[in-house]
Amino acid sequence: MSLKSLLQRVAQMIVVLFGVSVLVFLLTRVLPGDPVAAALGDRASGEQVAQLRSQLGLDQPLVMQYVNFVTGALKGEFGLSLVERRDVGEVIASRLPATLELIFASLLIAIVVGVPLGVIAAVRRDRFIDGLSRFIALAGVSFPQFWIGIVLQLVFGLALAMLPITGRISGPPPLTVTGFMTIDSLLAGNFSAFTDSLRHLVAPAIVLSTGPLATIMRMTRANMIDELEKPYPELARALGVHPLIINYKFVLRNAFTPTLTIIGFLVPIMIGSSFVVEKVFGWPGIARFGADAIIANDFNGVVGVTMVVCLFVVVINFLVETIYPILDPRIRSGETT
Amino acid sequence: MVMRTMLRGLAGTAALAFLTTAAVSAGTAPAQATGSGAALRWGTVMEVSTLDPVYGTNYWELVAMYNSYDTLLWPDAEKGVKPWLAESWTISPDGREYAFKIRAGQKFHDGSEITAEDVAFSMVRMLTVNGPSASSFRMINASGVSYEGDTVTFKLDSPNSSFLKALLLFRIVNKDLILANLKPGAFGEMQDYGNAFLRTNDAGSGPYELETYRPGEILRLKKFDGYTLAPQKGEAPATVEFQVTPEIATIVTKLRAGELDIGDPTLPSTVQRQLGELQAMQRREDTMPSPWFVIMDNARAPLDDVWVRRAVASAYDRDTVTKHILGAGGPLAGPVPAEMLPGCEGVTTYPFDLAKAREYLSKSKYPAGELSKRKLQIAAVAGSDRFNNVAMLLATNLTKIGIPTEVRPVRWADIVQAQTKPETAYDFVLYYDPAKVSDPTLFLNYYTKSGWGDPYPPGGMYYENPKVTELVQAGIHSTDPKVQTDSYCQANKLIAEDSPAVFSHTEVRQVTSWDYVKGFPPSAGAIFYDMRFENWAIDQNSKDFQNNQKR
Repeated sequence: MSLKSLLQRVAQMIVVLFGVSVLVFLLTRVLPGDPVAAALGDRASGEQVAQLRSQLGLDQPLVMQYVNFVTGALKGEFGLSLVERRDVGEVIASRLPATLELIFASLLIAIVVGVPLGVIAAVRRDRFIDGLSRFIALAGVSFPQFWIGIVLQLVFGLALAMLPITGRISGPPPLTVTGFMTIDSLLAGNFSAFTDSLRHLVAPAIVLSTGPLATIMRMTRANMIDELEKPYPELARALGVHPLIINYKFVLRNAFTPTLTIIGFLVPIMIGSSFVVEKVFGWPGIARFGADAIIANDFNGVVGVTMVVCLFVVVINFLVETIYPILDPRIRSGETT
Repeated sequence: MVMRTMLRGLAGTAALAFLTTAAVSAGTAPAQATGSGAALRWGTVMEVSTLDPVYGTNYWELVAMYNSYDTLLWPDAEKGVKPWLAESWTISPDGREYAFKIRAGQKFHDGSEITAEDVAFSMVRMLTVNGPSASSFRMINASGVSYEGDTVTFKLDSPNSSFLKALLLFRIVNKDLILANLKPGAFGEMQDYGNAFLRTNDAGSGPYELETYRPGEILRLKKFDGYTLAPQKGEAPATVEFQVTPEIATIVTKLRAGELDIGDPTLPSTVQRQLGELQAMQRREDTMPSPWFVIMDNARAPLDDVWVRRAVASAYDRDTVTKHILGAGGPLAGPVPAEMLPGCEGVTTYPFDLAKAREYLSKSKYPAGELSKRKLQIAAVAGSDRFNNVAMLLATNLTKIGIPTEVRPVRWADIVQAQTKPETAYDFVLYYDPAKVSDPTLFLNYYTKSGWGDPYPPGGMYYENPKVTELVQAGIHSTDPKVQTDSYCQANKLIAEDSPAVFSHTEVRQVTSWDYVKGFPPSAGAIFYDMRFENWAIDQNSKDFQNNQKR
């Protein structure tokens, strides 16, 4: 990617983020309801409500409120959360790693299981294994995640007592470095905390991976079939190249590029889905906070979470677009496909 | 051949994944009590967002604060209050000055001694910061607080008989610890007054101190060894853990698996019944002095007519609400629960009777045609099945008697805003008032002009009866308990007769736990005092307890 196109993309990102900030800010301000009075509890006086309103800057003109919001957001401060009673930036900083750890673990499961399943299904098209993998894909997108979560809790938590039912860690957590409980445990050399945090991560990550796994598997299968019908795999076979090398080195590499794009799109969907998983598994992530903020009309919380998720999605898409040419030489050379 | 190799690889991966899971499963790390004693693990739907005693509003925040902070007084069934951190007090003849002598030798969790200076600082901080807990102290301002030696004095703006009971909601914080942890803020030399520090830290002296707090996940309190105000019982839990579990189904699974010892009181009554029937589990029901009302906007037609309001009250089917929708409920006559006004007999009630309701309606100034012109709206908190079902039942019955009504699920924040003006207030709002102290004025104020427009549903009643106002004021300004009781009882009767709200029932708290949990001692009418864990017990000889502690 040239410097010019890189700068263009960064400029696009800034425009998108600005547009989203204006839209979300205005939407939260025009919603009815008085979150300030609701947050103060019963028997609050009008004076108390006015004081908190002033503290939140709600007594200022809308333009001024937006300017304050933007200047604060650039410093990572989104204003006071009425749900958590601290700065939204602080809430996001403390909760985002939990959601990211869950999403990355789920994505890992989805790719590690979904891609080989897709390859096998394509190579053994219309055989039993293909039917089975298609059934798995269909089930993955059909069964509600909350239901799968509850079933896993009942089986592995209640009946087999193999996994904990909720939370991120049972004992004392390791010193926070990355915010990822598993990685921080390893960095601290605390293996028991590592295994404990891994046990907590397994079930929610499996649940969150079901949808993406199905999508990745279906995409890989379809693209593999397309590629396998082209002449080059046949030529490679004629030259005596081992089928595993043909399938995984040549065919999969070509077939994986569209799948990679899909993975870029899956991440924001997973953030949305993670709310259900976080609720069922008591996972203290950003999605649950965002949902609570919407219910409580915690406008700073809603804007903050939306902005961070939007930034995350934009960055993921940017990364996908950057990696794309590396994987597909045709794009590097400007050749259309 | 190739296929077989690939399948082997996939099978190997699956086997490896399972073995990894099994291996990590072997390394369980159960939540154990620190030192000797039991860990009590409680599943909570709501999150604990703050530990600051000035800001806590939700059930679990309050439970945490009641255990980690202490108060000057303790609730008493006979006298209302008794000495606690304050060993004695005097009241000036004009009923405006209260002087409290602070008990010597009491310690904060950091080992420093509690002084009159800490008490004065705590009151000034609460009034200055003006968070939710300050709402019960409108009778005093910061300039009325002083201390000398071991005595702290509060000077009220005017005599107020509620003050002593309100002090049950006033928690003492460690001044030095707060001053050592100030952050930039809006309170001049006091900067943020310790708000940031107190949100996640403990500066109290209660029987339990903070051990672990991870917002959105867990709050763990441990026994404070230096606590001397109450005896340290060996059977009391050594640690109490609130595990945030927002999903009801998950709480049930954890409870059954033994990962929790006790469940959230907000679990649906049907679920609690099923759990209570399981071997080794128990379900308890406690009638609380916390009333359920259907608030009416008395300022708008047709509810400005007493006969219409009486008709509405007669169309409200209490039995179905308490027995079938909520699963339980205690009696309620008038706005003040009977426990708060013992001996107040002869309060008017309007039993469910549709024929009587029609009769009342025929006496109203609004003819039938007028009544059917506008559909009245019942606001029920969105997402609450309990409120929604009660609202539907009322709407059905009101429609039967000729008052067309519809149910509107409304977000809580929207209800709160609507109630602050008579023209925007909903015709009906279902409301549950968790009475924190046994004081009739908590409820009666809403039936005087001083409560008009206050946030929360009761502020949207806009009811006025000069006689009621006079009686409530007489009770508040009197220092004679008999005068107070008589005044409040008369006010209660007048309000009940005028029916400005439907007085449904008193809450019955339902909690399911394992048999080995022995809790909820009598609280003398101050509902959170039965959640002080130093008065709880865990049967540590129970097999179930021993098995569950390993989870």
